[in-house]
Amino acid sequence: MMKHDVGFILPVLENNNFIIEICRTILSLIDANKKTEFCIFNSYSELAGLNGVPILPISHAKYFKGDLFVFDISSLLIVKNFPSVNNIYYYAIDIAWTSSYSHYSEWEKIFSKNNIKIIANNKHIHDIYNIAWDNSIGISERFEYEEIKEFLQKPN
Amino acid sequence: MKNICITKSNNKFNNNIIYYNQEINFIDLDFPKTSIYKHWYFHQQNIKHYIINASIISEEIVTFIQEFNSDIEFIIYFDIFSDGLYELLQPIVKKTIVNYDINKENSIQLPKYIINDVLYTNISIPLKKDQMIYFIDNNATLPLGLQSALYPNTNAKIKMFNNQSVQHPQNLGFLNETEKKNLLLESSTYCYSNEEYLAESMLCGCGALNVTDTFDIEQCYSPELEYITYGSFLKDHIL
Repeated sequence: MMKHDVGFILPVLENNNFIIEICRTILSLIDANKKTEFCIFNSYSELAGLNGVPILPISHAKYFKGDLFVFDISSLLIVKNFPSVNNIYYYAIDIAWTSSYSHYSEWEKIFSKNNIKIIANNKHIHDIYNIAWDNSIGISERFEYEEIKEFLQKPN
Repeated sequence: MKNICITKSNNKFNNNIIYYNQEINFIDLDFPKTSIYKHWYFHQQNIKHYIINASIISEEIVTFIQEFNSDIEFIIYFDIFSDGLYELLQPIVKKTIVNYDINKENSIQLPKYIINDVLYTNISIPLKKDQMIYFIDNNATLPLGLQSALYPNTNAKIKMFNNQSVQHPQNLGFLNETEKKNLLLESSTYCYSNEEYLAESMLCGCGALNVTDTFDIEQCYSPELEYITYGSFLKDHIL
């Protein structure tokens, strides 16, 4: 059973395999957890037929009470200070600071927050985030339902 | 209060003496972005003291020194040393400063262990994180010992900082001197190849590990050494 309601920050729902896989996982979570609220926060969608998944304007995300999933650094920067969010799961497909070398304190402000948990796309990313910030909780190569369910059910 | 113009440069000497701004008004010289002539005229010729790094010396600066060395006190800090530049400048400037490993009779020698006593004062050491830190700074490459311990060779919690040109995921970004101190305070081990922050690491209660050729955690030790402060150095040689 999920401890909190779960939101997914997906500003653009592109018609690609990755987004389709995420939506498939969300639908499976909804089917298996009738007492938990799930929703996507979105600005623009190219996908049709996303029946069964509540989609809300992205501006409503700041009022959300529960756990949030983000999939890019920009979304993480926006949600990290939301007042009612519980855990923030950042699905990392790259190592953010290697593509944009800046002040250490800027990254530390983001990744040292206790409620930010990394789910890595592969072992390399998982190891690096744990060396740097000690905050990767596991690996999920394709954001599959069985793996994401396990992460959500882990104690805080 | 004295107006002293100092080269804007990412090295320990320049980054630390600007903390002593109770008695000195430090003005940045961001060369070559700014012409030194334009800089001086912009400040309405009110700067009577220049600390210029040898690494930025150009024809324009040499001309400026030759033209104004009777009105302005020039101090050349040899962050990089060459005999040719030293022979050219030493006779025409007020003072020269060289690093600890250069011996020149008519120069002020910067000691090997010198700390910022504006920052490193009343230190209270917190609970340490089990992590090792290394300041890349102006080193072009990483020492072999350190490389052997970085990912993917090991998963040791080593964090590196302060040099954009060294590409490695454990290189986490730029630091200023205050942030270096905070990292030394929170980290269990200071890794080094040139001892630049060894005195500071001692004051912050870190273990020290020389990673120049090897990486052997059994060789970690608690340094004991004597040091002077930038405050006393400024009083003795610049103020």
